[in-house]
This record gives sequence, C-alpha cells and structure tokens, in this order.
Amino acid sequence: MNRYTILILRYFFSIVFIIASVPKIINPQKFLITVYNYKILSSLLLPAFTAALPWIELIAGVCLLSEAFASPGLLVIILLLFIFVLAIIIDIYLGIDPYCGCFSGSLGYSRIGWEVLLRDICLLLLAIILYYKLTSRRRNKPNPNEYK
Amino acid sequence: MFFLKVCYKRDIIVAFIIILVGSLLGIGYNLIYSGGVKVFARYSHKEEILKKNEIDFINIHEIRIFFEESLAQFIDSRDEEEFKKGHLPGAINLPLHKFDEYFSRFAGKIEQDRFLIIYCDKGCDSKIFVADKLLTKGIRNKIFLMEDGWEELQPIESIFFSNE
Repeated sequence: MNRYTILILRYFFSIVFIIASVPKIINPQKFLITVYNYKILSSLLLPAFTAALPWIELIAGVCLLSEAFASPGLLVIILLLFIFVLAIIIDIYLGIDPYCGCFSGSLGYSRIGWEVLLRDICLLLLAIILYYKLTSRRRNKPNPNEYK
Repeated sequence: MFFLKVCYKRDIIVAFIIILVGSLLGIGYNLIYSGGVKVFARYSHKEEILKKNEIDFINIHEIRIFFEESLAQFIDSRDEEEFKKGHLPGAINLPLHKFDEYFSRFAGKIEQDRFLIIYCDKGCDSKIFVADKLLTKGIRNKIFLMEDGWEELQPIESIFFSNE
C-alpha cells in the first residue's frame, strides 16, 4: 500500500463518517428512534448514546483529515465499526431488522441484514489494515523518546 | 487484545479524548438544541406505555370494516419520505420525530367519534409512542395499533378494495 493509497483511504473514511454524522446531528430525534428500533440499548443509555455518537463520528472523521491525528481518529472509527457490526449481528440473531440509519437518503432506508453486515465487516477490516499501515512507519523507525 | 497491544499508547489516549469531547459536545448540543433528545430523561419502553394506557391491537383482517364504514382515522407514524412513497387511503402522517410540528396541523381535524388506528413499519414501535403522545395531548378517541406493518398491507388493493 503506497502513501497515495493510504491518503485516499484516509480521506474515504473521513468523508464517509462526516457525511454519516451530519443528518444525525441535524435530526437527533429521528436517530433516537432508529437506535431504539435496534432494541439493544437500555432506556437509560439510549438518549446519551444517541446524543454522543454522531459527534464522535464527526470529530473522528475530521481527525482523519489531519496527519497528526489520523491514527487516533482511525482507532475511534475501528471501535465504532466494531460496535455497529456487533449490533447488526445481535439483531440478525434476534430476528430484528430495523432500518440501518447509517446514512441519510436511500442508504439510510435499507434494513439491516447480511449485506449491511458484510459492508461493515469489510469497512472494519479495511480500517484495521489502514491503521497498521499508518503506524508502520513508527514501528519500523522507533523513536525511543516518543510514545513512552 | 492483540490489536490493543500493537496500538500506540498515545493513539489510545487521543482516541479516548476524541470520544470524551464528542460525547460532551453531543450532550451539550442536545441540551441547547430545541429539537434535540432529552439526554437525561428515561425513555419509556413500549411495555410501560401499553400497561398504563388502554391501547388495543387490531389486525389486518379487522381493519377492513373500519375502512369501509369510515369509522376510523388512519394515522401513519412513519417518516415523511416513506409516507410519500405510499400510505393507506386517507391516512394522516404523524411521524414520531416531528410529532409536535405535525400534531398542530392535525389536531383540529380529529373527529371525536372516530377511532384512531395507528400503523408504521413491520416490527416498529413508533406507533406506540405516537399513541402515547396523542393521549398525553388530551386525545380521548379510542386508539388501536395495527399488529401488521406497512409491508403486510401490500398490495393495499387486496385488502381494501377486493370483492371478497
């Protein structure tokens, strides 16, 4: 993976997460209903999670645009994707098929299922590979004074 | 665990800060924004709403008589976009996430002697919350919730306009 591929992938994840966060920030009530329909979170955690998630997505997406904060931003995205994959697996297992709510427009109106699960797993694997590539330079040339 | 071992300490700390800042911003924004979620409220679950209110369920076979005799006002609690794609004839759109905005338009049109039948998608719960909000707003009409979702009502013609 050369530096241009890494750059393109960084911007890809950044744009995907920024675009995904905006409609959820604009209309949090709608997002609350979407998250509720997953039937995973308790009524106590539901509002706080709904309020926080889009902003975490937005900040992580913006961090990916900067060289200095790309790898921690990507770590957050890996964590989010892991949560999404877990939520989809639980709902498929329980036989619940709520609207994905991942994006706005027609993509947001797709119900979760194997297709959405496969897409998120691919994104998760891609994000993990990208993280390794982003940090490989540090691994190869360790600076003893850094990251202690 | 293996993945965490290869992550840099600095990345984990900054990632934690991103989550913290994002959470605080999100909570702050929703506390200020009038259309935000009530962050510290405990949202009722459908079982609690159904227990405290006298709301009954109705199925696809039972609604036909209500429709033919114009005994009921159908309420569609799905999004505006989904409503535009298709809805029951004469149904009023009352999406949960824009309840107050839509209710103000709709309130004067409710005839007191008509039943209210609320439906949404297959497996969705927005109809229960819309029913709860209607009762909170002082609506005294008898409310029924459709057991079946919009998907099961397809094609509409076979349910409402067949000669059987």
